[in-house]
Amino acid sequence: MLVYAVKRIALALAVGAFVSALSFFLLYAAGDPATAILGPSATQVDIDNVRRLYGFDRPVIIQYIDWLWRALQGNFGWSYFLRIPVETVLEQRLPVTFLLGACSIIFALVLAIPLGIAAALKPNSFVDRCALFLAVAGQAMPSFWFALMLISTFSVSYAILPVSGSETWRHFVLPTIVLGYYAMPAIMRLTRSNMIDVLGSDYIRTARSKGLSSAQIVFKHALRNAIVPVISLTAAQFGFMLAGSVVVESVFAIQGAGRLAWESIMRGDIPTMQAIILVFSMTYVLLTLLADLLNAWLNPRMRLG
Amino acid sequence: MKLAIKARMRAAALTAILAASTTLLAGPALAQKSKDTLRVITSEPTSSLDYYKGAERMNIIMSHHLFDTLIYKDVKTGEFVPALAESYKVVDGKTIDFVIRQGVKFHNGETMTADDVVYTLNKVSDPNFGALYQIAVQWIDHAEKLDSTHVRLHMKKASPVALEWLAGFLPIYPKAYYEKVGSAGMAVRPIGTGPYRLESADPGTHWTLKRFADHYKGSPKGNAIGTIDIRLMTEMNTQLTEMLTGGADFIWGFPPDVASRMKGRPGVAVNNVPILRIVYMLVNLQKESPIKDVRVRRAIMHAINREKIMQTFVGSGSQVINSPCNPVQFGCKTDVTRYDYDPAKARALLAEAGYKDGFTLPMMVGINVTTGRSIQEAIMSDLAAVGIKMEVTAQHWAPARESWIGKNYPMMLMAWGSWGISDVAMMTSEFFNGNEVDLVKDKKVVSLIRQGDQEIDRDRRKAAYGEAISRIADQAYFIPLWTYNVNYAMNKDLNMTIQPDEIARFFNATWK
Repeated sequence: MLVYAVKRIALALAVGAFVSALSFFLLYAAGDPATAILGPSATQVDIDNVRRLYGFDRPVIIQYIDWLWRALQGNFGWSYFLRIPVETVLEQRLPVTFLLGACSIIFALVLAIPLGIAAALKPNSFVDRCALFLAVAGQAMPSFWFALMLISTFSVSYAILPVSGSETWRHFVLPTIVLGYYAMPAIMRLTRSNMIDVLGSDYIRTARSKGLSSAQIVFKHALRNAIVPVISLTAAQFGFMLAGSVVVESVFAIQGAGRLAWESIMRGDIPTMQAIILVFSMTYVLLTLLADLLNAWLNPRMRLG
Repeated sequence: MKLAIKARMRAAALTAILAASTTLLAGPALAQKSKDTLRVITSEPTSSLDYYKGAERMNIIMSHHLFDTLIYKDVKTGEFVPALAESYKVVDGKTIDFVIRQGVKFHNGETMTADDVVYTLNKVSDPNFGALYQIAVQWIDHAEKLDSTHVRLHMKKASPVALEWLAGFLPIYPKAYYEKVGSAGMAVRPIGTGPYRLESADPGTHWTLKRFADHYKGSPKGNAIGTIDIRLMTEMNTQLTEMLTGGADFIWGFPPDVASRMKGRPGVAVNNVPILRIVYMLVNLQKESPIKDVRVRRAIMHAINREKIMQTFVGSGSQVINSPCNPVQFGCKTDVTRYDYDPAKARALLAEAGYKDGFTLPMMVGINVTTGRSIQEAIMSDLAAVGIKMEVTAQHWAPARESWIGKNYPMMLMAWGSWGISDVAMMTSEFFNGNEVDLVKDKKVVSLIRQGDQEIDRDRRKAAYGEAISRIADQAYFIPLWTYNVNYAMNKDLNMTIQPDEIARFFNATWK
């Protein structure tokens, strides 16, 4: 188990380093950061001055090594846009996104796993069809549309929840539903298909023949095996929610890290962008790692691989 | 197609919100008047509150509230009136003397002196200070303290727009405070002499300004409303919902169709103001393409139904232009060659130029609300009707500008606001002074524009710019489209107007 964990951690660090380098060079490929910082009113004199002041006139590889060296010492630099330390910006924005992501994934799991089990217990039944409908609707409906419809209903028509912001728990209800509902279908469908496979296996038949109750079979024997791939998927979905929450954060005016990432790209705020990418990619890698370790714990055969 | 569906879904969502909100208004909108708090929602971000290190329009707006300048431009009369300087005197084209007002307090209680003025002007004009917009400071040579109440400003060269910069873009900093906290301190806790002080801020997203009780007597700015709460909100539908449900008192920058649907909603006043920003297409004569032929450029002018496109997508607050400037700007000659919508004439000109069967023309679009997809497609459709097939590449301004100065595209659709300065020195000169954006590089035009830029005498400036503008229009070196306008909605209990320079002066707002 220890060797397995060390291997996975080494791989995680390599992925993080690769993502960081790739994003740095892609940012340069996307356009001149000096022009992005200055905005559409910039003149060439301004642009040349910013290039000199911010060191953009140096080779990109030197700039990257410089950034990496400082980052390894825990110094992410200053936001080019806000002119305050990047750590301060992240301290402000990351908790909101993590909270929203956590609430959403819990909402998705609470909805998806029971529905997936119910659908698997009676395939092609009315319940299964309803679950399928919910899944298709969740995947097909653009999140911005769903968000606006919820606002129209719960904030405008009935005025029971706030339109935007992130000050109280009430502000998180609608964004959680939107983001969680978007993540729910994949988890539900995987739970369903795995449960169908597991419920049809020999050891479940044996359990039935031993006279175990349905609840014992489903929750104690079947779900434990069926849930293994769902854990990996949930970890991936959570990572996706963190980085992909930009639409929901925009619609509900939640000033989180997803929105910050998008804004940083638009403004050429390289230090902030790099820090976010590093945090997101490492979170993603960490979640995947935890999922792998959890799976290895649940299923000892995986440790051999 | 996907974009069109998305746009329709957004429009449908807005309709649903508007329908749902019809019966719910008036009540909440009144609440904030009793709290004396003006709640502003903006889609434009504010960067560093160390004003000189920012590069956003909201930074300029914020600076007008937190700081003061030596002089102030009365936007109604166009006159420069005293502010932190009791009076000023233009000694010659390169020197201005100021008499500094006494007894003005900074937000931290310190008194503003001539030393603060000299320190600020010398500090921000030093290239190593890193003022993001060098254009606003690079004309300053140095400031000199003559005595405790007099400051002399020396310019590197004569600048006809020096007073404009001084009035709107050069706020005075407290020397002792800035030396102590530096840019980082000013970014989070700005201290100025302005009519409002910063009460609290979530950097980049939310700011609360409170009335500065010790704001100096005789200031041209007011502070009638006790608190101004400014929130960043990028999604337009959410902004509108907040406005319609009483969660905001002021929003701006929404399109005309939304404005017309919002009109008549209880508790909300919807207004429109023409602004200095213009929408246009630049042409590149440094690269081989059909538009090097003047007949082709004239054909393009005749082919685009500017009036119809403008009325449909921009709104009646705008006007079609024929010059490379806004008609209200100083030096903008409007009596120039006109190209009315005439597709038959466009086809004839193309045939005469040897393009009877048309041609394909790439165009770069700098993405902006003023150059939206509907406008691009309307222009493309008009040009296709005379045989010019446009291949459009739309990019964010940074790569768009890079592609343009790299001479990669024969045309570029853009918008320019000229910093809200009503002078063609900040408009036409940006396109035709021979700089890297100028891909026409007509020697005569460049010479005339530079002459106007360095001339102080208003009549001679006007004559030089006029001659250049006439030549630009005659040769169709520039495809002028229309002026832009801004829609804004506010609580009906609020008295406030937006001016053509796009600087929202919340300090002048009052409750009815």
